Amino acid sequence: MFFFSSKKNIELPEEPIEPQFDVPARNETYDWNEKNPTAFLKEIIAHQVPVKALLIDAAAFKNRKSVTLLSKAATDFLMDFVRQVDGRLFELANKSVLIAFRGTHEDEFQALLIRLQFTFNDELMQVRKANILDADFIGVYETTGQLQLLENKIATSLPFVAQEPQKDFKTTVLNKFAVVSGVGKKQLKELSPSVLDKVQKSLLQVDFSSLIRRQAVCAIIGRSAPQMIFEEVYVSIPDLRDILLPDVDLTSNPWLFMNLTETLDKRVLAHISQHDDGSLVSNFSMNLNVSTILSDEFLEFDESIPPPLRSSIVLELQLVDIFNDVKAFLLAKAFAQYRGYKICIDGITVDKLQYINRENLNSDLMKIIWHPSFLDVINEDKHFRDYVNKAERAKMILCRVDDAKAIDVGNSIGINLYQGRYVQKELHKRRK
Amino acid sequence: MAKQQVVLSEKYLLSALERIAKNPSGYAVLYINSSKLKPKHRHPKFLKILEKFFDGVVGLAKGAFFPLTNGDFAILGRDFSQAMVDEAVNKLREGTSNDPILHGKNSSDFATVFVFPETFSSFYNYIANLVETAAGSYQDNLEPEKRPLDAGEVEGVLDILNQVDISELVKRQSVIEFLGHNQFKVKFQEFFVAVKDLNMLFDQVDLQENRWLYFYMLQHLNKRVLQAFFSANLQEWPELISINLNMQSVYSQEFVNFAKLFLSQGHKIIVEVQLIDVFNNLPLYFEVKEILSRGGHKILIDGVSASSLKLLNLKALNPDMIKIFWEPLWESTPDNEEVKEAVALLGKENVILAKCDSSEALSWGIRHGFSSFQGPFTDNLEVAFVRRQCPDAKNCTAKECLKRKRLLSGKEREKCTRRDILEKLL
Repeated sequence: MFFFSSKKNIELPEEPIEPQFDVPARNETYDWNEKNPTAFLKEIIAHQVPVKALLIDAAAFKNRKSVTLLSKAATDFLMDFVRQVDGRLFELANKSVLIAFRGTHEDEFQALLIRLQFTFNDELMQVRKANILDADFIGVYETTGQLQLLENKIATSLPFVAQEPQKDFKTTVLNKFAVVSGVGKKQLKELSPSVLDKVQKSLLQVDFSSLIRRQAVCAIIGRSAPQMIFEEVYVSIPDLRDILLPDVDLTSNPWLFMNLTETLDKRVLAHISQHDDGSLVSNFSMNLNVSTILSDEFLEFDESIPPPLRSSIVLELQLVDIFNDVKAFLLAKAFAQYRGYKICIDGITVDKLQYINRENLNSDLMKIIWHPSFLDVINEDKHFRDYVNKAERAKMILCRVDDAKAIDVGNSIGINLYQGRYVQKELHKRRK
Repeated sequence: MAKQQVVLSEKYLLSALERIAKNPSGYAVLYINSSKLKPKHRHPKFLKILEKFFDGVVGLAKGAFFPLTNGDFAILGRDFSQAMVDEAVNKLREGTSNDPILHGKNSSDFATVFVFPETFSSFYNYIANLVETAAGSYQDNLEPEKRPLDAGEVEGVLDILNQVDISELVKRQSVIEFLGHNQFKVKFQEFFVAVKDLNMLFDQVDLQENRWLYFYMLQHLNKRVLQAFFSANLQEWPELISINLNMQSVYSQEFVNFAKLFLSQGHKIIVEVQLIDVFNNLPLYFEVKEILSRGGHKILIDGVSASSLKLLNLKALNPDMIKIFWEPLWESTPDNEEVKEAVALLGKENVILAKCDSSEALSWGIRHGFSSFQGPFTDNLEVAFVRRQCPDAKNCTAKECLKRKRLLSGKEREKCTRRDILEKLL
């Protein structure tokens, strides 16, 4: 089995081998947060910082798909690894990725190699290499000599371009409150249970209304102006993080994050029930956990909403939460729909539609995440065109729409409802 | 709901009945047998939801809702129509897929209308009697003994669990394959942390009540299960074993070590994952499935209920195996088409009927195409097999034998004088 093969270092021109990791740094004034990779490597070498670096060289890929896979990995498991070991990640101009970390972290590094081996399996087959460390596109650099070679390689052939933080395309619960992944500016610490506890307690003290955001869901047909159907009321997680714990990634563990969302649900419900914001009595949606719909707080909220207005309120549920307890979901859905509310399933990418039985799920609405590869996915996978019928398309909201192209594509396949920054901008233009 | 309040509610009902006593014509009571619901549906939270389902009936009948000490509800009002009652019960049925009382032939098993004046005096006496005998009420039993864990306690709990000898808390349970003509064999054995035992270490908190924190803790505990294999004191290992893992753990050093040392001896594993983990990260699920299959191992989706089968496209997910949990309600309902389809789709060798607790469950399973089973019923079968061969069987009870058979090491297991026979596989 490939993932138990022994580790083999990449072969480099012979250089005097220097002791690794045991040498104390000459001085500690080096800048670990240096943004330019060449300058970063220079600093590391000059201060003899014991570092292990891994370069995944996109220019050496034979398979075009590998570049996309690497870009995706950079915002996903490579970033997770870097967070875990307090390392650095640089995306280079030609899409190559450089990772550097201090200390041994041998276990984590081996796990990373396994993951890379799997991710670039097709590439490895193409270049006929069984072990990822034998492939030309991977290089491990540890000794000063090796690091100097790396610095030279990057300086001459892989100029660095600073990257804007990229939007994470994870389809997990982390989509819930429009989380933007923290790639780029800052390396954030992982959320721990005790930190989560502090956050939950602090939430009782903060001015919650300042964290509530709204974004419109609009009907747009062809070139028509957006018509607002309802507004999603949500908590801005990045803002919440900045207020409470700027150096912690609140979304780093899915289960702890879900626990946090239960607390947020209750604060949002209380905020709306008290009608702090006079306009929130109808035509809005909110993200809720299944357990929240079955809680006292929801019953209180329900009491505060005049019955005729309930049908204009949409409750958004995450797929992962539904599969946490399907029976609880069925009860919550039957109950909420019986009371008049609409149910929307949130956080689904178009390629995920095929894994659920949408007919039995029987939601009133379904939010599909827009991504530039949306049409490619539809064209590649016959599922959408063959199995998603007209009626179902009409129930779909294409969200995270950042440009007009999404609407053109959506319209071409019969989607009428849209949400995202572009939609919001168009709506404001019209209002002006 | 405090008992006093409930009694108060009954007193209100009594005084309302007294007010209409002179002329009860036109009034009626809709009596809802919620005390007959399964215990988990009698949870105070569920009862509040139930009350809401009957809100419409209360409004239409211009009535009032009275929760009673015995766990039932009464709605006093006028002009109840059967259609109103049926609608509310049907909605409840949609929401509760597995409560026999709600799925009887008609709604009257669950909701009964007492039309006045004919039944007035008997109903009045019944309620008056309830007020008197409110002591020792059912509501007392609903108070949870333990509270859910909160996030601030998780690290402390994990510290305690780290000090516990995990190999004494890891247990195993066989999955039995029926070969026909009263022939059966152990298909594989599942190794898992006995959460009930873990819970017993804590008086105040319930480790499972807060699901998200429980999943967080499982991420850590699962890795310790892998370590427990090395301290297990077993002479005979089954060729095929299953372990519960969160998918990310397949990339952990603990798993790599386990695979290097344990699987190098020719063993194969089935990794049991939860649906929630699968839907948390679908690409990872396919990756893990692929990685495992390259080594000849399998992925199994655990804890699938008939309700979850309805919401899945099993064909697209295409797991190597699934475990469907038996539900006692199935005994009294027609054949379950979703389950039959799942068995046909994956093949009977790849589906297991788990939590199988009776011969009825077994017959139901066979009728639905299953050949592999797990649960108390098959455990007893296995123990009976062991005890038939054991010359020292008279020195312990079947219950003790089962307990020891499930353990991997520790004092309790060592009490068995014939561990060679205890470990024998069917």
